Amino acid sequence: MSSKNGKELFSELFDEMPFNVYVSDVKTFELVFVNKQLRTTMTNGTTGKCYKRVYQFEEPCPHCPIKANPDIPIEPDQETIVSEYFNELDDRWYQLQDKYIVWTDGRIVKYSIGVDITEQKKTQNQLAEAHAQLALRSKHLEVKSITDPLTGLFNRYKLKEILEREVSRCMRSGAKLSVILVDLDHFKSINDTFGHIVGDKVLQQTAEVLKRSLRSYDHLARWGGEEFVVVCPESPLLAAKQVAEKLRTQLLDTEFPQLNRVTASFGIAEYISEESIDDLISRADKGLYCAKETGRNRVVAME
Amino acid sequence: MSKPLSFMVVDDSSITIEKLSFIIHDLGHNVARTCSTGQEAVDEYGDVQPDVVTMDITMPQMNGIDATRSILQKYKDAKIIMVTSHGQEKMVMDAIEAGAVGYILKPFSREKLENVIKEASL
Repeated sequence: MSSKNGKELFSELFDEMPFNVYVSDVKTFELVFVNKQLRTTMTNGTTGKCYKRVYQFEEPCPHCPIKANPDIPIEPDQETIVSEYFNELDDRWYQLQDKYIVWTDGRIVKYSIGVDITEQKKTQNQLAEAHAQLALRSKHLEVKSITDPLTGLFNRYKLKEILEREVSRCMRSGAKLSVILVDLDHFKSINDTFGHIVGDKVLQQTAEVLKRSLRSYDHLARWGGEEFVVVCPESPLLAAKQVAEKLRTQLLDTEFPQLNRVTASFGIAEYISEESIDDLISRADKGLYCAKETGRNRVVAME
Repeated sequence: MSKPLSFMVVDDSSITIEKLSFIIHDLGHNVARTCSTGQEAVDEYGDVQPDVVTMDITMPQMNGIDATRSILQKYKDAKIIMVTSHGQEKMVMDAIEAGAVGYILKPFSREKLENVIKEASL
C-alpha cells in the first residue's frame, strides 16, 4: 500500500483545482503550501510571508478576514469566511474563502481559496455604476428645478415651499416670521443704457451681495425680474428691518463695474396669524411700493 | 477634446495611483498631486485647487466619503469622482449625498474615466 502523507494528499487535491489556493501559518504568516495555479503567478518564490508573496503587501493584508494573532484562541472548526476582494495587482475580482484548519504537523494554519469572479462582478458593477449615474442625474434635476439659473439662488417654486414650511412652523411654535421684498432701483434704465448682459451681471452681483450679508438661517430667492425675497425665520418686524438695513447699506457700498452704484428699495411685513402667504407677500409689497414712492433706496416696514 | 484638467489622485494603493495617473495623462490631462489618505487630501486641496479629484473610499486616516464632505464644506465647487471597489447601494448613495459628481468601480478603464468626466460636464 502506498503511504502518502497528508501534505502530499493535500497537494494532489489542490494542485488540480482551477483556483488560487494557499495555506499559511496563522502565527507567523509563513506560507506552508501554494497550489499549482497560484504558483504560476508568483514571481518571487513560494516561501515567505503570505502577504508579501501572494499580495505584495509590506504588512499583513488589510482585507484578511483571518488575522494572525497568537493571543486569540483558535477554533479550527469554525465556518469558512467568504469575502470579495479586488486585487490591484492583476485588476481582477476574487471571492475569497478562508478557513482555519489543523495542518499535517499539528500547527494551526489557514487556507485561502481565491476564485476569480471578475466576469460575474462585471454585470453587478455595471448595475451599481448605472445606479450611481441615475442618482446623480436625479440629484442634478432636483437642484435645477429649485434654482434660478441666472443667479443660482432659489427660484419662486422653492420659495413657495420654504414659505409654507416656515408659516406652518410659525403657527405651531408661535415664533415670529418676517419677509423682505427687495427691488433694484431704476433697473430698467440699467438694461436700456448698458444692455441686458450688464443687467444680468448686476443681478448676479446683487445676489452675491445679498447672500453674503444675510444671517445663516435666512432664506433668499429670486422672485423674478429685478426682485428678490428674503424669508427671515424667528424674526419680528424690527429684526427683519435691521437685516434689510444691512442689505441696503452693503449694496450701497458695493462697486458695480460700469455703474456708479446700485441701490434697492425694501418692503417688509411680519406674518399675522391665519393670513395667507399671498396676503403676507402683498403687505410686504405695499411697503416696497411705499419705499419707491418716497424716494427709493430705503426700507419700509408695514406695521 | 476639452481643455486639459488638473487632477488630484487620492488612493492608498500606489498601484492604483500609478494606473490612474497613466490614464489621466493618456486623456491629455495632468496630475497635480497624489495623496494616500483622506486627511492628506483635505489638508492639501486648498493648496492645489485641482479641477478634479479622484477619491478612493477605503483609506487609513479618514475615508474618502468623509474627505469628500470635508473638502466640499470648504470648497463648494470642488469636483470629486469616487474611484472604488465598493458597489453597495448604501456606499453609492452616501458618496452622492456627500457631494461626489461621479462614481467608478474598479477595475477602471480609460473609457470609464472619460465618460464620467463627460457626464459630470467637467
